Amino acid sequence: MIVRKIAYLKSLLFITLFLALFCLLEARPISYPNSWTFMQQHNWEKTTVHIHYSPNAKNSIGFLGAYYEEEKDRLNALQWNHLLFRKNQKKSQANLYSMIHLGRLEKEISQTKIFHGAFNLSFDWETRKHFFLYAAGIEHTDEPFTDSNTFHQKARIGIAPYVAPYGKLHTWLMLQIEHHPDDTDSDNHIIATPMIRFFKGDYLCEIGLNSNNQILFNTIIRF
Amino acid sequence: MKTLILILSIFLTSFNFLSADESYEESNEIKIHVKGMVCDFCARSVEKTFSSTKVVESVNVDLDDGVIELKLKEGKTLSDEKIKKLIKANGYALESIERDE
Repeated sequence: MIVRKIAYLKSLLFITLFLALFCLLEARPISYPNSWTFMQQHNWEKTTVHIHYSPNAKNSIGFLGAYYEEEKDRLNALQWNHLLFRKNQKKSQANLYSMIHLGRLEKEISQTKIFHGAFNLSFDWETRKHFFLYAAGIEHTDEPFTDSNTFHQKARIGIAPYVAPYGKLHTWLMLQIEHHPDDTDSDNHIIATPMIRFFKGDYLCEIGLNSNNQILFNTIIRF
Repeated sequence: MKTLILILSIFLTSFNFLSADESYEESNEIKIHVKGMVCDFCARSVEKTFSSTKVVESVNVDLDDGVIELKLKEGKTLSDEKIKKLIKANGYALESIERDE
């Protein structure tokens, strides 16, 4: 009973810290104003569906659903993406985003529902020919007896083999390196994923194969 | 007489300035140079915003040069302030505005 109460208080503290942090920041959206975004991601770890609404150009809020392949756990969460900083140049754009989600994880093995939260920071820089991204984050899960905090980071570089005009098919060749030092399987500590990205208009698709021969498949639709 | 000429000159000069300003506002083709518009997603956002305004007839985006070309509806105007506000609301920065004389 006491253990559960301490876990509950820790969860509360976790939420409070996040909210306190965000209260200090300027509030704004991500996609274009008054638009919806549907994102699906499938990789070695999980399959996610993320639907969010952007009321303005610096914030988006929405639902995040995830299914963890190995553990067969399910997550239902609310996610808030926030543009912390943007530097617009004539031929480039740099962004710093924060992403937070808070939700409930349904553990398959113990048949329990526990609190799960994550906080990520993501920096990207893009021109019409080059792309760079670095992201890092922490995840917290209220396990019944031991709290679990994990750290992960990733970097991605990309190059466009040709520069397509507006409205035409754009193609990117990318390489993503992930670092998951807290993963129980050492094969997942460092994962490299070469991939190809296509996008045209409001549609984006990424296909890749990682160093463990697992498929990555992501899609984004804006409407 | 001198005073009359002076008053007339001031009046005519003012009228010329006013006329220039009006034609400036009434030009119906506008080129907007935007900073940070480097991908289709960015351009699409700006295109949708301008297309949804009642005064714009057509929008053409040139991603290579970071330029948005607007054609306004007959007799309609769009002020620099409004353009700057719309660009900023989409998360981009206005570099300059060119209008057809």
